[in-house]
Amino acid sequence: MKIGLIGGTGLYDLFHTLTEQCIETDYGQVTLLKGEFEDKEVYFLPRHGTEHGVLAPFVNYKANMMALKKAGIEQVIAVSAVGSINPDIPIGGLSMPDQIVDFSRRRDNTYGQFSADMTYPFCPDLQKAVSTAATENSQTLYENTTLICVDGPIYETSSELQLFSSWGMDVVGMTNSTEAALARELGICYSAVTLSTDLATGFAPIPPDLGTHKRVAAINKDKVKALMVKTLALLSEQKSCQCAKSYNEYMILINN
Amino acid sequence: MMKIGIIGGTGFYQLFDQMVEKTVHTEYGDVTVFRAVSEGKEVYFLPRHGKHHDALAPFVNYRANILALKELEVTRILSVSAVGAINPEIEVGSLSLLDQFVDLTTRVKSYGKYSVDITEPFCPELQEVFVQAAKEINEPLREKTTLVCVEGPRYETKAEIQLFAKWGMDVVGMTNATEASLARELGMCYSVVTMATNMAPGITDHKPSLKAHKEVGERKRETVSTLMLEAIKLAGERKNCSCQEAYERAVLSRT
Repeated sequence: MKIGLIGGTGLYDLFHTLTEQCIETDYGQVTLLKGEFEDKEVYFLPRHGTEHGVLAPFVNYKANMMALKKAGIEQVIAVSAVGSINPDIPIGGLSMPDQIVDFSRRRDNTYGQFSADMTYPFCPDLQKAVSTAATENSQTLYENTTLICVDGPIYETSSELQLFSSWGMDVVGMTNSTEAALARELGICYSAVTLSTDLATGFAPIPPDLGTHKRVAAINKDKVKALMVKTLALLSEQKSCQCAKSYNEYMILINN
Repeated sequence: MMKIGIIGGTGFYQLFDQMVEKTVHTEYGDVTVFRAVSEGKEVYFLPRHGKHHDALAPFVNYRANILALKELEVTRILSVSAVGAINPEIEVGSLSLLDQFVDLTTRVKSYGKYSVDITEPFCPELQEVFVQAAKEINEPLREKTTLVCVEGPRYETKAEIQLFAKWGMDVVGMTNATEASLARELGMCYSVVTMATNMAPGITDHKPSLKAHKEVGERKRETVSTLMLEAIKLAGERKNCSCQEAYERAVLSRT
């Protein structure tokens, strides 16, 4: 069984040994790091490169998701740093978005083959595994959150955050809607776990910056790892979700 | 002879049985249109997504399409589009007349020559034509409808639709804001009737798909055709609308 794990470099040492695997796609080359976890093959994909050199708008999302597809992966869990709009989610809080509002505007977020259903953008099976893992670990996980995805790399203005807050948004990120849309077009199950690295209220005493993000991510690394380890253990190939439906229908259409 | 453009969307690929195919060359690319004469008017039918629905909404060559109609000396465009209904009062299969749009797309939607007034994005005279045409054929037509135009090709998430509902949007589509902007830049009258082919995501449990779109489109094809034919009959030369003003000013300032 193959699982994709997208995240920051802090997740590397989940595995004792990692082997590099270069995958060529129509959109560029992607390096996946392959590790073994129990009876599962886990393919780790550092979203921003191994040195966090690539900012959110410049990530090669289409190559990344296609590489996971080409590696034969059907389930992907992504870990992302976000800002908390909802004051109930503290810095260092883990949440699992249930919905997305996409306000990224200058990204190529389609393979351009068909219109995919995105009513529920995340895989319910993967969400269940993450949720159960949090419960078994006695970890606090904020569920049913709505993530608003912006282009970045600039952080949001105070006005933008107040507007997003009035819309009922819980966290603000820069990557997940793009990954979710591409995953859905490829029929890949996708779910995200977000770590709040700042309070995106517009009135937070400390403004957001990459240094703060990294610091909070480092402090909370073990928490994220514990959740991922448990989730990986719980995942099975038994699926009841509809994530591949649009993709399968399209494949039938073009093969007939 | 007055020249009218008809743009057809998903599920609406033909207007008359006997139409002559014609290719128009523009600086943005070639466009296939179908010509016929009806009610003493020259009608050019343009299937928005191509003859075989092969261009998804973000990849439609909007600038070539609208410019092709301009080069054919079309002055007024009647359009029909498939949309998702956000407002629960709008039933699947029902027709609405657009009055306003909110454009959330990021695609190129300008010929880049000047800024046009688009306070009222649709031609009031053509809107009236559609209202009368609907009355003539006894088909309900919901007026004062606001469309939110999204990039696509993916359909919307439940949270996006809930947000659009909060904003007061009635329907969600992927093409009309772009066409309306370009038509206005070229000084052409433009008006759209939308057909709700599904309830927008999250409003019901039925998920959107091209198949569902086409099925509803197929079911209502006769009605839409009849409406368009009636509208062609009723559409006259421009009287008091100001759709061409900005364009004419721009042309004058260049001469």
